[in-house]
Amino acid sequence: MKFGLFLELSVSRPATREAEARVFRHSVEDAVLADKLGFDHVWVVEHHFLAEYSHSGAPEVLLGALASATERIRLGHGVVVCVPEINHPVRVAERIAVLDILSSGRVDFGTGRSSTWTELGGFFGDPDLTKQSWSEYVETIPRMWASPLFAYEGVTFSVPERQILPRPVQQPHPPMWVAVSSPGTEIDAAERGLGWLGVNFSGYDALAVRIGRYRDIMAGLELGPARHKNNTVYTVNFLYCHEDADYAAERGGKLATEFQYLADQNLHTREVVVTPSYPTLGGIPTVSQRDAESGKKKGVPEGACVGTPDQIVEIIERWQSIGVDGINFIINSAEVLDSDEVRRSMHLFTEKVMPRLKSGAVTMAGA
Amino acid sequence: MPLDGLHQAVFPRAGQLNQRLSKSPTTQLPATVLQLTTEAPAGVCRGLLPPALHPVNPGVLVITAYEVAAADGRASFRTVEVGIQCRAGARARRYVLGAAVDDPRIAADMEDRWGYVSSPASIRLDRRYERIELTVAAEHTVLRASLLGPQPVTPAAVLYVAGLRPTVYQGQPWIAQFERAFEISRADRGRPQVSELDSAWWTGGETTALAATQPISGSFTRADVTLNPTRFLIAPGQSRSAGTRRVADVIG
Repeated sequence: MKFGLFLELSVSRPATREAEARVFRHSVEDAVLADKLGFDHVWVVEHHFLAEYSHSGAPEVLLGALASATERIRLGHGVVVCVPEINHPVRVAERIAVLDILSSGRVDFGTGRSSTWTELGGFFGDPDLTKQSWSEYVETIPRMWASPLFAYEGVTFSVPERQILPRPVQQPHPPMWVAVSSPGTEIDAAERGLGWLGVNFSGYDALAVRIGRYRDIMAGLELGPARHKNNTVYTVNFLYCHEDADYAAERGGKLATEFQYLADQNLHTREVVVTPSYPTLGGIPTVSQRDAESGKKKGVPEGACVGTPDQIVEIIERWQSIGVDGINFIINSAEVLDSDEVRRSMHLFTEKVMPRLKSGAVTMAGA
Repeated sequence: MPLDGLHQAVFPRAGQLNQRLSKSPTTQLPATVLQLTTEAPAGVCRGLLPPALHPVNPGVLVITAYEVAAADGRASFRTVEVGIQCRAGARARRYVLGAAVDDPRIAADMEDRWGYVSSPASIRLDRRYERIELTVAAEHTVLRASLLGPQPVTPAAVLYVAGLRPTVYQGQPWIAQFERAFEISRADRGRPQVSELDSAWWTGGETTALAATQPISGSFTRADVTLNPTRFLIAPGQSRSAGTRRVADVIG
């Protein structure tokens, strides 16, 4: 089992410049600590205009800083918005390569297409074309790195013959992932040999079915020499670990509630654009904070890694049993938890939980 | 969820709730529905929402026009709503700022059975090859808007969210939720264009600054529309979770 951090860089109102700077500083400190404690990944999201929810408009810059400040943890660019109006694919290939060089081959390349009108509309992106542009990006960017000369004539972008430089350290390329939220994206992922980077919260049973579908397609997939398969499933989760179960539930519930509140403010493309391209809200749907049996509100969503070390081990083993290879944790949201208590939670997790789950861990194919 | 909207007053055109609120749905009105969404100034939207409701980012203006065909001895009629997209808790909602109806009998019935206030106006929904054009005129033109380049799309691509309206019951302000169900048989989509919008007319004089800015999307559907009874009321000064009541608990 692998573990990572998912840095959203949320800043609650009033989002002063000091508050923004503090969130960035704490995020760097958390990533450095995660590196020392033995976490496997730190992922930095890309979002634009999403006030409060995420102020992470330039993740490549933050990841550059983390490449320098850390030694062994893998750096997840998660996810790059694969829409030409937001990120030209050549610039994406260049940035990923530079980051891979500077980090000595520690980059994971996450891809996605954005689920909010706030972002797409802000750059005049066409929601009808984002699935197609994403598909073109994941097909062509590995080829940009593999060929001395690259040329492409596509639907959402074209590139005349050029040398795309530099190229990444990892051969043939850094592990590639796609953000998976809506049902069906796991099929898109598997058909392209991409790792499953879960970005929403779902129940065990629903996820087990989808993972089965993903593995089946992956098993029969053959990719060319310029590509490798990343047959890996990561989910996202909250983390609050404490020796006192009631206290953990109170603090973890507060974290989940704050995160949900911020996520609820995003304007999903599906809500305002008439397009078959976004059949569901995507992104981060409502976290169920109700007990599955009684229906009563309980604060902590089902399957959340909130509780004592024993409780969290039990929860993670259940995720592992349905085929999850790794979990990325949201450890704070808009500083709703004090930084010191977040770090105590991380320490306790690495001392009492991680060793019990790391032995005999599932290996990451291709990573 | 903390309180968010900034509008403290009850709208001057809030509907009066009474004991005669509809308790059964009005089913399957054969209608064509034009819906246009554009962006709108965020500060204006926040200023128009009561504290219980949250603005979305960016502000979104929603124009919805219904043309209901004649049936069961009732003449055809048209109604238009101008509102802004918002959140009630986590749920997407459309807060209707103003409505127009071209049949006074329908307007009276809507107010009596749903607490839904509207203003009289002449409403035209003109279908042309390259556009569907909506014109609303009271003493002057208060809305002129179009769906440009309509093209067929799967009905599943169209989403209608429940509406909210300011109302009053025994002197107490409430936000009433009105829910409509749509059975869509045909859908077109296109680009919205709003060429005239009388902000003061649609907001009951609250602001002259409500405007359509960046176009987002539009649809034109043929649908059977069901008007469901009002089930929930929200206290405008409280959070949605604390201030939501069942109609039966407030009005009986």
